[in-house]
Amino acid sequence: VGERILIVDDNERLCAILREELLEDGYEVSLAHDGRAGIQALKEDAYDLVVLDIRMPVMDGLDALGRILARDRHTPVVLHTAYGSYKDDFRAWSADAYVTKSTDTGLLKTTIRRLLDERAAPEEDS
Amino acid sequence: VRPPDAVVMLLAGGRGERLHPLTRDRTKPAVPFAGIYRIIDFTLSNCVNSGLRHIVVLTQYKSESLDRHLRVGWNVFNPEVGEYIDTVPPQQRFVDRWYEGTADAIFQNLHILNRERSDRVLILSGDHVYKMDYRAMLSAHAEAGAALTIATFEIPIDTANQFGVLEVDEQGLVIGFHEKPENPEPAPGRPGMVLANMGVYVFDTEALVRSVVEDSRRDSAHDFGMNIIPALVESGARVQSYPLRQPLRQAGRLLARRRDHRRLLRGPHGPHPAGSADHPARPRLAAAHLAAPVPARVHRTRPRRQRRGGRGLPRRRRRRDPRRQRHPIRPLARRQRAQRRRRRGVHPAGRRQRGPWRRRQARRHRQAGPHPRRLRSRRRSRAGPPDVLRLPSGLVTVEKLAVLG
Repeated sequence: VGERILIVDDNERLCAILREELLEDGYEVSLAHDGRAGIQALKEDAYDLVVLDIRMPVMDGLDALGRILARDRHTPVVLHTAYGSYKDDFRAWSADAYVTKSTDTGLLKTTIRRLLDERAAPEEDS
Repeated sequence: VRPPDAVVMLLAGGRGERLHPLTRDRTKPAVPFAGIYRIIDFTLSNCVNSGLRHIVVLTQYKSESLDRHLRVGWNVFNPEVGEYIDTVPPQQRFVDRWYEGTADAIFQNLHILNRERSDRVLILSGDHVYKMDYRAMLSAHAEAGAALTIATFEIPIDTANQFGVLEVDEQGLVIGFHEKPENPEPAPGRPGMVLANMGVYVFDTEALVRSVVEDSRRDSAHDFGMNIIPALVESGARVQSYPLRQPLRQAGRLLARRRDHRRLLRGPHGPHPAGSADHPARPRLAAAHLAAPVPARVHRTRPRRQRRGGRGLPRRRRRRDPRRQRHPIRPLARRQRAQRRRRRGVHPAGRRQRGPWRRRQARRHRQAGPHPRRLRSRRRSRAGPPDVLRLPSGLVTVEKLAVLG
């Protein structure tokens, strides 16, 4: 517990809500408000998981996704968007999970937990 | 425009180091082959002849020559109906790197597949010399309901360690894939032979995208033969083999290229050394042309330009029909003509007069009957032209002379 999560989303109010909820669950949370800032944050610090919005200014989430994975292909990335249509975009298939934005953050939280556990599992084996 | 049946992703980024001096200035697919062609023309010709006109050529090294060749030589696609041939160097729109392998080249261009939304993707190499109908392979792929169909050709088992070798069952379903194996199993029913991977793949788009995306998250060489296919076979997806009963030449080695080159040139398309025996497939006309002697003499028969006609103003010279026979009696010089007229009692300016003088003259002429010399000339013309050959104008060679007799 105490895993570091980066939330990249241009909606600051949503970011604040998510941060609060994830802090309650015992995660460490950082925020970035566009794709480029997200990549910069990843350069400066190590994170265990990234929650990435798609529709953002400066650099959109799909372009940022490729660059994030090119830097470190083992970091789990959750695409968190209000649009269901990006599910069909082949570029979005690189992400580990695709969660549609909702007032109920339960799905996002379970997805984050699952990915972090999956990531931790092979390390336990070795 | 309906989406295409299949998008062609043509991998043409090879450095071609084994072909070194030929690839000093251009990528391997752009190396000239058999005169005016480039190696990539074989694959592109197969595509066009298979009705595939949505072609993405993925380039990387020294692509200028290839680019130019495609622009100049393959300008046969109609964009109005959605056809295209595009060269795509690494766009770096998704990642900041060059193509790291064949699978990475596809991964970096997922946006193209996104745009096209075809059911299938045909992946080809730009450096193979072969003939193939991809339609047959595409329909075999659809019939088998496969995720991936791999075109194969048979090779002797002792050369298997140079190729990717497929392990198949009797139905052609691939049950194993080994890159450059030392001791492979022979193909069923073909002792001493194995099925080698040609590097021609038909993928279901979804299976392809899933494979390359998964591969991009792994530490691998990002290569179809080494990573994608073994992983796909292992995952239990339906991978089918499609045997091609034809040799394929990868223009890899210089020697092989030279041999193929010479074989092609020796055929009916090659140049024909003058004086040697006719090639059976060559048309006679060309052979006759080559056998024709070098012109020995050149005659100029066009008459020198001269001015004719009347009152100070030069008349436009009519071009003489070169085939027309000229009258045997040449007109005399103007002064001479005038003198003769005067002697004859005709107006010195000629007969084109009007008025009383002309009428009187005409009456006199009618009474006198035709001039004796006119009679004589008429007799001559009735006897036919003299046996003088007029040559056509322009350059005349010895052969033409022979034709004219």
